[in-house]
Amino acid sequence: MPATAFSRRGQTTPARREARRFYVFVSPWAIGFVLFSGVPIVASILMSFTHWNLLRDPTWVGLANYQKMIADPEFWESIVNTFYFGAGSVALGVVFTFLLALLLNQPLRFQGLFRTVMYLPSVVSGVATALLWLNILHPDYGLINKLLALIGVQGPGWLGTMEWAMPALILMSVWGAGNTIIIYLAGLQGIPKTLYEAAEIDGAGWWRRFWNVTVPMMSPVIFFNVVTGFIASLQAYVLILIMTEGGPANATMVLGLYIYRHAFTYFDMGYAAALSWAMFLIVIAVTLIQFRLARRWVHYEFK
Amino acid sequence: MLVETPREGGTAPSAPRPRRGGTVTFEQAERIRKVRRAGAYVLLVAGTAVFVLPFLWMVTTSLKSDAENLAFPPEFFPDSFNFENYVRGWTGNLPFNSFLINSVLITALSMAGNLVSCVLPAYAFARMRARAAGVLFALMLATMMIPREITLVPKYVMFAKLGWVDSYLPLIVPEFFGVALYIFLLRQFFTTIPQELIDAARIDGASELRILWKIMLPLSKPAIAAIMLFSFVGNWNQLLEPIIYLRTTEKFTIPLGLSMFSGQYATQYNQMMAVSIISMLPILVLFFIAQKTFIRGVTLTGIAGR
Amino acid sequence: MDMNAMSRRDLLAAITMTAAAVPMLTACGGDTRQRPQSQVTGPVKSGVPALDANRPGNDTWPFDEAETLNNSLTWPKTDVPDPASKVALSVAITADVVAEVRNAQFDFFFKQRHPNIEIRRETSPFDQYLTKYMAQAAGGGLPDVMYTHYSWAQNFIANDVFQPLDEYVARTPSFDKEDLPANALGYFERDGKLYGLPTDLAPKMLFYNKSIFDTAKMDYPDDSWTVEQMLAAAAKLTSGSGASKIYGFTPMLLLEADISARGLMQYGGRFLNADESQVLLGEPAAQKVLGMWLDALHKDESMPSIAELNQVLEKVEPFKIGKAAMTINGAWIMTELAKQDAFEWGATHTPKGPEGRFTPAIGSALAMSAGSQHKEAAWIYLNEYLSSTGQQFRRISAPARQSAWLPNAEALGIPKDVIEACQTAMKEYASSEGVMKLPASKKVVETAKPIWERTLIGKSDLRSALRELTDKVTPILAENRIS
Repeated sequence: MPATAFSRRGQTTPARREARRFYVFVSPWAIGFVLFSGVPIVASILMSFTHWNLLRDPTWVGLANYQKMIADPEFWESIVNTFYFGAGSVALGVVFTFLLALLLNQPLRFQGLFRTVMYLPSVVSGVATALLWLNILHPDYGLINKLLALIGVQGPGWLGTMEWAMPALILMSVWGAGNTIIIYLAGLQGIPKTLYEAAEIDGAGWWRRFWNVTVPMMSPVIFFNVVTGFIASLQAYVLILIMTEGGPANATMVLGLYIYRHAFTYFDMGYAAALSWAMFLIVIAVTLIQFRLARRWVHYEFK
Repeated sequence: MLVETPREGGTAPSAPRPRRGGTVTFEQAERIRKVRRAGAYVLLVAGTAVFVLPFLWMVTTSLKSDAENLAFPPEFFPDSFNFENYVRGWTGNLPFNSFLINSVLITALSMAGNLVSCVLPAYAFARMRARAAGVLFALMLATMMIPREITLVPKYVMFAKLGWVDSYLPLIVPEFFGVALYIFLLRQFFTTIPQELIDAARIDGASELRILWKIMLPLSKPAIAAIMLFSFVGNWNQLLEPIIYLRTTEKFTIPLGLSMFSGQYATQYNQMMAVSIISMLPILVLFFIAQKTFIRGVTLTGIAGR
Repeated sequence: MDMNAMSRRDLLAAITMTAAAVPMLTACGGDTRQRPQSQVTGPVKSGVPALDANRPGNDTWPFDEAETLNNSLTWPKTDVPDPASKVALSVAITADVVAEVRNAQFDFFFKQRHPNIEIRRETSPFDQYLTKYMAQAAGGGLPDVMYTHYSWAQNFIANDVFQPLDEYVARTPSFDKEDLPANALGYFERDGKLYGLPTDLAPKMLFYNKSIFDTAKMDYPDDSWTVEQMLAAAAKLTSGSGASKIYGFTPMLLLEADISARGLMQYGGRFLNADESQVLLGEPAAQKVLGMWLDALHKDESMPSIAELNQVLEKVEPFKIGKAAMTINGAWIMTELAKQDAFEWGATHTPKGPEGRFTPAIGSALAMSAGSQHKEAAWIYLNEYLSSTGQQFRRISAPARQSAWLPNAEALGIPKDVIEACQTAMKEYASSEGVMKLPASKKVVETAKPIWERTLIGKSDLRSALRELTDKVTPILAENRIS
């Protein structure tokens, strides 16, 4: 047991005791990390220095994959697309789902039904979703362009055009963000009613109650959604693979899809691993910036 | 505008209070409230239409005949209701009854594993001090940032060496060792619980487990419900890992069976959608139960305010 | 404490509800299970699984039909002996739900003929098949017998994953190699050795929508047509706009693995040279054809643009849904066309050009893994599964065995004249020549795709696109030189 290991020196200050408890509580994850994540992670680091087609033993190539990556214009292109998709879907998603969660948090009739319906896009089969959106976005028969035609606007070709394919995908990703809504809803329940009552007694209007109570109390949850939303959308590729395969003309080729293509279309595992570690660095940089910014706006009970 | 309505959950709204030091009369307030409520309903119904569409799409596709299956642009409503697609899809080709049992087994065990192994670390990360806490937390977040595509093959090789291929072990055992995303989520919720509650319990001599059980968990029920839901949906729908690890058809899960409605050249959408709907039902049942938790949490928080 | 009790009660309630949902669903399954069975095969005891291991079958493939067919067929013999004691043979294939049942029936009867060979069939959906078995290759150990698409085979062969089959063919006097299309075995051959036996190998044919031709009062295409004639007809057959648009032809010539055989060789052009070491797209012959097709797309608008053409889902393929008058597509689409009744269709030879008539023949094969411990049993399985008899039993629409075409077409309701055209094509001009098959093919195609798409959208001109293409693709071709 780790507990005994830590007490071998016999001095048990309260801080030491707390630390010991910390390690015991964290152990389920920590042991799993060593057993199930450690090996694949180390292996994928090593992979990035090799050439490996899965059918033969890997051959060591040193930094060749990284050199190739830096000189690869499609890699840089995909980074731009990744940020486009990531920023678009997180910005739109976080705001839109927050508003939706506020709406779903109202004590109205049939809320159970409404909530279930809003979560539907997150559970329906990927094929149904893809087919539906291909129809909604179809340049000729699509719902969106038909609606646009009603107000006299000639709709774009959406997924078939370099300009509109990415906005279309961002729209789709927001629509399927049921999990984010759930997390907001869960967060909204944690705000003590007394805080609103106190604000009301102080004469605060709805905007001030929203801005001074809801937003700060929700800030750890909003922060969570922004951070994980960025991590997920910077890595996203499944939706894009189904809808556009990165096209047209690489307009929606994001880094996740580029990695997937090298790993499971070309089976060029070494290069895919190098790209993955580049992505890792990008995601970690974005996350660190968010943690740094969080100090200014996220309100924690415990520091 | 939407946040200030009374927060008694599903119950009838309580009597309105005078607001803004009496500048708004009772009648005015009532009228504003009514307008807002009507607006909320309009928005919800409009939203519902947008969100329910894919599901209705699935339902109508599942009722189409094989010939109608091909039509494009697709007719939304089928010419005739071919309920036999459900029967043919479920029992006609592959043993979906076995797949169902397999899916339930994998999902139930994975959920149990996730719950136990996420709550404890989340509590530690939220409320305990230790020198390595920051580093470990960063490490945990970092595991979320490694693209899954690249650990897939090394993981397979590792489990193959352990002789776990064609068993459920690679799908279940790792679930008992925490999921970074869920730990992070729970930790965020645990941090919002007032520190005085915990301090008071510690002074009363409560053990950490007791604090977790008596204070943190009850106050975080919505978050627990959320991760259980995510765990359920995630495990129930996962496709790539079962495909890679499972070889024998009898061991397949429902999503694997579903993916076999797509052939190399053609797809039987009607039967595929029928079986998809059947496989969605448990999720919808669970969701309907879980979403009530999102309301009930409120009253408890009220008590906690003491 | 109240809240504590509540949390536990809720959790219990959730678990109970979930638990309750399961038998409920199982009951539904149990209920419905009997209906189709009782209609078709008569009395079925409740509780018997739909797929009875002792009588595998369903609506599409009733067991009795399979048994009758099996008994009427003669299964090929080989001098390779059956194993003396029980062996377990793993067989990895890809199949959809329908084919899976037929494969189960094949294995069922195979086991009756070879009691010492226990078949462990591993079925995967096509989309994930390669990922699964590449991971398995990395983990050590592949199945004894495995499916391979034409485009993967050379990579497996070059990396010594497959076993040459010539020795086993030689020990099987009744093998009848003449029955296999010699022009299209190139995918599975290397240095004169054969590494895979094809299961389906089919030519791409010119399919046409008779209804659209009738409305336009135009003659159906026939084997006298040239590419120019076809494109001119496509322009004439194009009508309407928006949702009611009918295209003369689909799809636009795309830079795919088989583009040379599909559209360039007719004019003496090619994407890559024969040993796939050099890009020839920049040469005048290829440029001329591509220019012709671009005109058809941009000036005649007789083909769907990439915005209109959803390449991702075959469900919305314009020809299959009656929105295009002509297409060049693999013969396997006949199975689906035969099932629909929205329009009348026909198929004929692909149009010829000044350099002659060409068309790609593509398909897939089964191979024996070089590491197999049961090679003789594996051969017995391959020999029977891929014999004309086996392909007739499986009722596949585009069988590699030429003698299986007619019986299968009859069973699937495909017109006889179409089948005869396919067989002539297979004998005379359909081939693996002009189809990329070496390991770098995927990379070549994916690299070329965005550049070509920019040209299709009109964002770059043909000349500079072809120059960029040549520059980008040429270095990739070095990967085809695996020692």
